[in-house]
Amino acid sequence: MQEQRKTFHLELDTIRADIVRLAALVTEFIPRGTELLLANDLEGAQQLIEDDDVIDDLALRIEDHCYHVLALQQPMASDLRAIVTAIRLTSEIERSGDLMVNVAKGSRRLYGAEFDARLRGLIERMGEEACRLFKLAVDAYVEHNAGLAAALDDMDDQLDALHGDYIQAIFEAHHEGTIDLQASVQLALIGRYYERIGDHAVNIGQRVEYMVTGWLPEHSGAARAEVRKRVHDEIGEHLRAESDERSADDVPGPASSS
Amino acid sequence: MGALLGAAAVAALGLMARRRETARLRDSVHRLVPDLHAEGALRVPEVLVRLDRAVDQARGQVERERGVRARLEQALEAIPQGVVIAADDGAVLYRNHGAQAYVDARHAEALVEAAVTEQLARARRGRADTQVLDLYGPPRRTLVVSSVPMPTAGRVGALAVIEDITERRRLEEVRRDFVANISHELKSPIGALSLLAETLVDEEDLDVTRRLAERLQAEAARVGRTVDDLLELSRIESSELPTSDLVPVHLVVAEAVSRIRPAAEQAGIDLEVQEPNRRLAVLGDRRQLISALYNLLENAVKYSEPASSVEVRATTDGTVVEIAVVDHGIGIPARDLERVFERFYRVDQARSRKTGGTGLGLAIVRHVANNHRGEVTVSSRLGEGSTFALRLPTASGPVAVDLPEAAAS
Repeated sequence: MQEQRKTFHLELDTIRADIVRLAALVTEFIPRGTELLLANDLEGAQQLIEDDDVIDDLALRIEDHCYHVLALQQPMASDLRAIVTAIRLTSEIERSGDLMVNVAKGSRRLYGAEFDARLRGLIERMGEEACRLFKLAVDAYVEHNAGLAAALDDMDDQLDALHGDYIQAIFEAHHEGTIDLQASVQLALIGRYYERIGDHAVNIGQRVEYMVTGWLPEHSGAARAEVRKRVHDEIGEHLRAESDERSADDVPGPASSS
Repeated sequence: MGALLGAAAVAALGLMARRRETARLRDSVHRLVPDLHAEGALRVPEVLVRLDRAVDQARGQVERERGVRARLEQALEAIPQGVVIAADDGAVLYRNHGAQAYVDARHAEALVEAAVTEQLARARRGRADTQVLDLYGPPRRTLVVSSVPMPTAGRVGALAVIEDITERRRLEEVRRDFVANISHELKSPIGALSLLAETLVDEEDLDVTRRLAERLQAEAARVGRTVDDLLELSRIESSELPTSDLVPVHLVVAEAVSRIRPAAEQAGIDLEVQEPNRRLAVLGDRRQLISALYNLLENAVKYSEPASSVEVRATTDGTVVEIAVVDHGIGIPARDLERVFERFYRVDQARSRKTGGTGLGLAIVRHVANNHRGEVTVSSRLGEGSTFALRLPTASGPVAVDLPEAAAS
């Protein structure tokens, strides 16, 4: 038994190291994608799109490894949560990499479009903020830091605010005629990709919180639903009982029937 | 009789066992002291003496080997590169301090350990290889992971070396760009001059001749400015703080601001000067300091939108004077921030040409700062503006505090 636990923890260490590597690949994608977007670098965009295959491959291997461990070791409690979290994290991280691929594709669609320094500055800042959040989410995972994981949701407000400013700046630039409608739409989509990366970082935080504490935000909702259902059932029962009582009163007793 | 035979058998067995032990002992002694038997049969005390000596020698050898190993490890620890040695089965036998930093690393550095593992595996298959890792960070870094097979006793281990070549690559880029840029900066006005002169030779219309001559003048002035700045830069570079006068900071600010004011007014830019404490002073060359601050102000005005403002403020924490120039102009992309102090480095070629700078201003500022044992830093946001800060040590002790009013004014 002891030996089996040792093997399980070695497997878990490997999975954790692989997830850190997967996250590192995606964290690198963020400044890289931002830079190629701002530099109109078509070759860089192509390279990033191709490099996403490495991320996909690693993500698949991590998932397979997790399923393997689940099947062979049948972990329980916190060990089970660690494996389930690893599976969920892999897909969150992999999806974030895809979003940077979308940025690279967007940069190709935007090729040749000139956009002003304010928009460029905001893109730069959104990239930095998304990268910062992502790194913090990984820190929370590696350190098993539920506090940091929970704080990511509030930290994401900064990126949301930047995204709001960015959309406003796109409207203004379009209004002033410095960018056309097509470029505006592409730029708005690119902003959305960065904002979504922030959301994935928050999701990673929630999953880490679950891994450490066993709690998920959905648990609050589930608890509310449970209470609502119970109250509903109780009221239903109460009403049924009342109506039964009423119908019992209406039914003529043997005395009256006689 | 039977008992006698039994006793004889036991004695014979005991003798055989002792002989076997003696043979093993001789064998061990022979391994330790190979020439022992060559000298004929030796008696036990002599063998023991020889054996004792051989054990001492062996122990000495082991100690020496340990010393060599410790020295080699010390040497490997002292080098800036990371070194990892793996056995033929992939198990890591040794990892120096430089390589240890990447174990259990997160973010970009986690990719280094993965590259090392990959390289070691390749080398164990007998192939030396090199992988370049461009890490975006931030900070941006370039690392090279190279590996070689290490065959020992029929088995193939591997050695991987991790080297940070960020600085080397930066210097290579600076040198390459400098050569390309200086040829561009000097050749293009000369080409223009030659073309204009050629056109002028055949031109008879007076108006056109005048226009061409004006263009000639402008281009000549441009190349003249570049040469002047190059000379100024080389003067500053070669001089190591030639004069160490007490220079009141408010005079430097006032002089530089008065020189830029006409250009600022012409561009419709408001100059907001926060008067520094009159006692604040630095040691150095007044002319160089004014030139450095003027260059910062000139850039701030050049890259600001009309009707915006440029702020100048000088503050101190007691040991360092910081003269900051803040603009709300177009800003500098993050990727160019580290390079703006290089000679002839342009963030935007087209715009720089329009604004007419020589591309040497910030290089001059950096050299002036270095000459004064200070530094110049920049922070910037695209579309929001830039802040350049010239940080210089204050003139030491009572000089800075008790500067007579007469000298200050």
